[in-house]
Amino acid sequence: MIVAAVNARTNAEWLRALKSGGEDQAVALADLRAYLLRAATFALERRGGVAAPHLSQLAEDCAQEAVVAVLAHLDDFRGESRFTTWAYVFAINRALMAARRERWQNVSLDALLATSPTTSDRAAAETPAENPERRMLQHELEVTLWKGMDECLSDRQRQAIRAVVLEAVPLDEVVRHWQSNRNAVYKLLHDARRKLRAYLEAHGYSAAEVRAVLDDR
Amino acid sequence: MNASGPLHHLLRLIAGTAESEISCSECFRLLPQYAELELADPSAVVAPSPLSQHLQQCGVCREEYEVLRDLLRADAGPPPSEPT
Repeated sequence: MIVAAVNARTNAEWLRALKSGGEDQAVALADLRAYLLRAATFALERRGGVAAPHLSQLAEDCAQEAVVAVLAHLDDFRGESRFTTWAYVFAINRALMAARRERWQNVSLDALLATSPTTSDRAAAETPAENPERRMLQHELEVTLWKGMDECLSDRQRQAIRAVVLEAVPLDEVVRHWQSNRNAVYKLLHDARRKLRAYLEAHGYSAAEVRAVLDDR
Repeated sequence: MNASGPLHHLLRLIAGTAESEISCSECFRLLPQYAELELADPSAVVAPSPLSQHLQQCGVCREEYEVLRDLLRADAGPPPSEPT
């Protein structure tokens, strides 16, 4: 899809037009909306898995949300990129969030987030190496990691690690379920990873050793 | 998800954990400049940075970055064909 017949502007011209009022502002808003609709559509087509009849309407909704967000954050734009690139991020963010919501709307996170990993989860999470010696080394590392999760993490941290890392639930969906925000859940995960890293180091597994056991090159 | 299983994926994330990491909001702010820089000169973003480290750890931010990068590439048009 091509953004047809929109006016090329410098960053300063975008800001001036969007803040100007009157005809210039109306034209700039229409152009901005065309850019953001393109970005939302591109994101949904690339990553969304959204059915075609619904995609156009969802893209329109996301573009409209993004226009509102861009206008609310105009004063945050520092000119470190092209204005349109900066604005694209708002539309992509809205579109991917909407797509994730659609994909996960029928999945209950209640049970997943209410419990800690079980023994069967632990067995299922492991994929043994073919080499017997490496398999043993990896098993020892995995047992140490599980112990670290049991001993070091809070219930909330275990739930977040389980959902986002072990079950591949998008961070946004955990955020939505907990009525939290990305920064808070990311920090929860980061704190959990730091604790586990310290636990592994205390048990002889530096980052380099972990990578070596996993056979990362 | 890593091919060797979610537990190994977690172990790799732990191995790549930094003492201090930028937030998703800070990533959101830095993303446009980073994507443009990568488009203009891929070698310019090879060195590890707080943003690249965050993108390794955060799946939703990484997905947004990848879509932005691909959109900018599409905007820029097809790469020049190889001389024959």
